[in-house]
Amino acid sequence: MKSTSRVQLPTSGGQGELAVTVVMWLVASLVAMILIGIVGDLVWHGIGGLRWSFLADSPARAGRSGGIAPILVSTLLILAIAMAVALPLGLAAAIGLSDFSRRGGAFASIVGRTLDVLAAVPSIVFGLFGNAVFCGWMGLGYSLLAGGLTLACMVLPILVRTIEASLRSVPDDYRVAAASLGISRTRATWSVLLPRASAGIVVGWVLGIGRVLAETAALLFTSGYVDRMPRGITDSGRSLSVHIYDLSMNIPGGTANAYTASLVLVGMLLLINGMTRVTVHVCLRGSGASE
Amino acid sequence: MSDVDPIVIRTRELGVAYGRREVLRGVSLEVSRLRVTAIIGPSGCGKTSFLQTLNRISDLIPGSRVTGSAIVEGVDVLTRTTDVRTLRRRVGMIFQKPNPFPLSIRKNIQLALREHRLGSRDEIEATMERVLVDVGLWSEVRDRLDTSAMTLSGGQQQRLCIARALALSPEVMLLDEPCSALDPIASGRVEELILSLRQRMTIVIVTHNLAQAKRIADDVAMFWFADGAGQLVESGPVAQIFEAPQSMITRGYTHGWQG
Repeated sequence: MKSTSRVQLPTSGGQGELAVTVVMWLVASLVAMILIGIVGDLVWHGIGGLRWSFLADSPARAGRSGGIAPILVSTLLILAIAMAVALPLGLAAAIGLSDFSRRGGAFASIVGRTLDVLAAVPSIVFGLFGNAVFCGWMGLGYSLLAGGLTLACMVLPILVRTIEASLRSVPDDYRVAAASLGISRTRATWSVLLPRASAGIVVGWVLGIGRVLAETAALLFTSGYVDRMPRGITDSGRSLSVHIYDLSMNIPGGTANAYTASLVLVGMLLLINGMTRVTVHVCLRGSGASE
Repeated sequence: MSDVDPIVIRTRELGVAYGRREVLRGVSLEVSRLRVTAIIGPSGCGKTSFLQTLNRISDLIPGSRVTGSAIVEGVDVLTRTTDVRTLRRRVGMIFQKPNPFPLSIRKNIQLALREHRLGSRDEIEATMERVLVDVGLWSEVRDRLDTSAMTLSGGQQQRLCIARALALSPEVMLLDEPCSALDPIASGRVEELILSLRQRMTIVIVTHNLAQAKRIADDVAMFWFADGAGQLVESGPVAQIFEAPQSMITRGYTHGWQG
């Protein structure tokens, strides 16, 4: 791997410079402290309830006691469905926009704008859409499948835009080099551009996972909120975020378990995030693609 | 045809425009087999544009329009039905800035071989070794074929790009100022390499370096910007262009009076 050398910025430069440096440090620390504060709060209140039985048991007394096993299963199934649908579609759309349509052409710009608008649509609207289309029209009813598909629609715009941006940031030199060797655009995209853009693709993927795991509103309409173990993806189920919402808003005495469930949710997010990065790093080391 | 045609590339009234801007007009040039033809002339006189039409890399430039005709090894390059993939395998190209793929050294060479299905796994390995030997990189990289090509120096990267193009056994090699981003030593090695290829393929090289043109070229084509577009002023054997040019423009340019 290429060693990256950083320029050492001068830290001295008069009183003004010092003041700016101090302010920047304070702002940066503040941002970091917000995250540390949230996680700290969750750990403080939630760690007490975190034990194996919490992960392995079904909820009892509407979640006030017992665990979250069925909810974890539902959450992971929804996540798997959403990402399994969104990733191939998102990749294909992004590749289409960046490399198989004319740059700055009408098609790419109309599709691009549509995606930007879609990305800004509130999730509750996606919920209504999913409820009408997947639950109603397609006859899936309240099910993990309907929820997963709805969330796939919701993360698709973010996924496409992030992947497209990372593909576009790959220098054209590589495209020209590939063309000059008679390499087809498909192979050039697959073997050269995608590995090179992988860091950006991972960002899109992690952002997508974050949104799916965090989503509550859209799932109330589509996956339902029964807290029993789902019998399959056509069964309804409750996601962690819905569970947390229910425990903290509707169930008196559910706060403690809401904290523990939140801690699990954040832990899951960090775990998946880390695992994705490690996996991609290992995969790319073999291909020799540099950052 | 009983004999091999001594002319490999023939262009007739070749013109290039990007949108409304005409960059090259009326170039009729013949390039001889197994010789090095240098294209010289000041910046902005269409040398690179000329080169880019010969393997249709010009297709990649939005709004580019090519007129006239270009025949390479008997194949009309500029038709709608031209097999561009095969054309680009037969006509290799090296760019000003070395542009290896951000992949391993091995993959850089093997990617195109796989694309064109040139040989089995073992044959591809053998080809890779052969072309790396040809460009003098083998001894430098044999122990690190799986490291990224981006770790190589600029001169090594350019030689890797040449090896990558050689792997496809092209009949013509187009080089667009291949040494301009390199230091004199690396540049010298690339020059020697070009000379060593002359026996095997026809070479067209764009260069700003007149001394380089003198050293390596057999024939020279002089381009100039006049009347709103780049044009061919004259072409001929290197001695004629440098010592007895027909055009005042060539005389002035090669003597460093203008351009």
